[in-house]
Amino acid sequence: MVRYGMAIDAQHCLGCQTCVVACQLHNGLRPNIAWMTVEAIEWGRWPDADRLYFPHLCLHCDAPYCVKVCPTGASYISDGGIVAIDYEKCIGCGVCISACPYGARRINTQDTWFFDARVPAPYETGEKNRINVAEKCTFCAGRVQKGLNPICVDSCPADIRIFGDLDNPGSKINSFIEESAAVCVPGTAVYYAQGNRDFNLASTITSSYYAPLTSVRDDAAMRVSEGNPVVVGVSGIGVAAVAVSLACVAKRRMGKQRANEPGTDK
Amino acid sequence: MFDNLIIGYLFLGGAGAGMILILSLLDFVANFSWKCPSQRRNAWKSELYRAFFARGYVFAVLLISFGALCLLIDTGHPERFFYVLLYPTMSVLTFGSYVLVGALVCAAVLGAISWLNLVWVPRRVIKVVEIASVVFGLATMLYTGVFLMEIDFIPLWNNAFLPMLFVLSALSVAVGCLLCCLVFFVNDYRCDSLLRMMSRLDMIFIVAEGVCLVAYLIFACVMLNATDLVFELVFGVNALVFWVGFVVCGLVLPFILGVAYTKMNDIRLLEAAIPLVLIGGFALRYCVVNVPCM
Repeated sequence: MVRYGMAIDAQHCLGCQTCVVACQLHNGLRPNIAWMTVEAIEWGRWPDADRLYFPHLCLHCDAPYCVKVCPTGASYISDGGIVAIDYEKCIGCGVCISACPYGARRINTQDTWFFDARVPAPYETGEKNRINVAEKCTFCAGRVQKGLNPICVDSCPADIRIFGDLDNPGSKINSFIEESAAVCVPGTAVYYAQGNRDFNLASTITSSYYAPLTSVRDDAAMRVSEGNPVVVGVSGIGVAAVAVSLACVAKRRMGKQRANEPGTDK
Repeated sequence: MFDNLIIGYLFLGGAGAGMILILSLLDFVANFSWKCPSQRRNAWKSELYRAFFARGYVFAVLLISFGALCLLIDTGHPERFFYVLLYPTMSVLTFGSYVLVGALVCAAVLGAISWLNLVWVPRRVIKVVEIASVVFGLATMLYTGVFLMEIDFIPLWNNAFLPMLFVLSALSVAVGCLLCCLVFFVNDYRCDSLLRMMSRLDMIFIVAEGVCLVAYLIFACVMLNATDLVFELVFGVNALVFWVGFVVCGLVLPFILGVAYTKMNDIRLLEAAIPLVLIGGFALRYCVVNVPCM
């Protein structure tokens, strides 16, 4: 069995964001969407303070919440333990987004490309029809199938990411984890070497990156308030139908009430 | 955490499910009373007459349909919603979709029978549909709480009292809707004892809801060690919605109005309680869905 995983030497991350942009280009991500981010995390108070750049991506859990809550099976665990999404089966309910404790999932609501282009640039590759569906890091499954590393691993100028098979004791990733004492959130496949820094990985990721549906769907909320024809149309018809039926019933009732005196049984 | 449409979905779905549960149980009680002395039977038959059931079930169909519509509009691809039925999983949302559809079908069937006065439908069939509507109604009400409880890393959702709180709130809102049917659309002199019974039922649900709320908060503080979050829920950004919307409008005032109605027998007191109960039910779901998460 193969269990793909990634180890990140967080101590030596430059915070240059090359991996973020490489991921966006390789996977053809839309504006405002990133499957991974690199944020500076700070804690403590001078002189007992510290800071590091913390690359964040889907942790590819062994028993993912997102898969558990998905109502159509669009989220699933694919070969090698990679948590994947079948975009054709996703209904965009967004429950998986609120259910991911690590804020790994995004949803794009706009059919636009960077720089307001009408079509993607030649260097923006990957799946093109991800609109109103959940999306997230796939460990670049297409590249992995070809025997390549995920694009973030190969593009990192500081070479801080290692990708490989966690189930192979002799793999490069396992050697790195052993040498650097890298740790992961239990039950996940992304390891972080954090040196002698002492912080709780799971709570740091959750408190820094948790992004419920309402926060990742700000664009969608704007779209609704601007007047999505379907939403406005259906709501308008519904409200009008209810108002008319209530008015009719109330009118009939008023008429009947006059003849409905005590002592006259129906 | 979730959009307001989802809050509307949980509110409307729960209320509609509560209505069909109460209506079906009322009919059961009426049937059992067939074995009782004829005087009592006649009393039941005159109170639970067709107009009340017809309006109640149609109201429930409307509520559940609008709840489902809220969920549909909230999805990114409403046109794919049948995938939930086509590719079912073991998720709570799948379960909820099935029981919601079940509740809707039951309400529609029973509504059609009472609205169109389909006297040729065998009593046994009606009984089976009523049993199904009790099961689907209860399952739908429970589901609205379990839907949130499933996301268990949010401390204030990972609480065994949450589904119970939602069920009691849904029942209270459902009684409010049934009172609405009686007061505004049936309003017959024969409704009086039914109104009194509904009012008492609502007071029982409100008291139970209050007790459950206290248990929910204590459980979160003691067992889940989430005192800070409970403090944030009760005194944080949504404190006004919690206290005025839920506690005052949803619990305190309807209870006082219910007590006053039993003393004064003035129907206007019940009319005033109806919107308050509805506001309270929505406010509870608003506060719970938007709980502080960490």
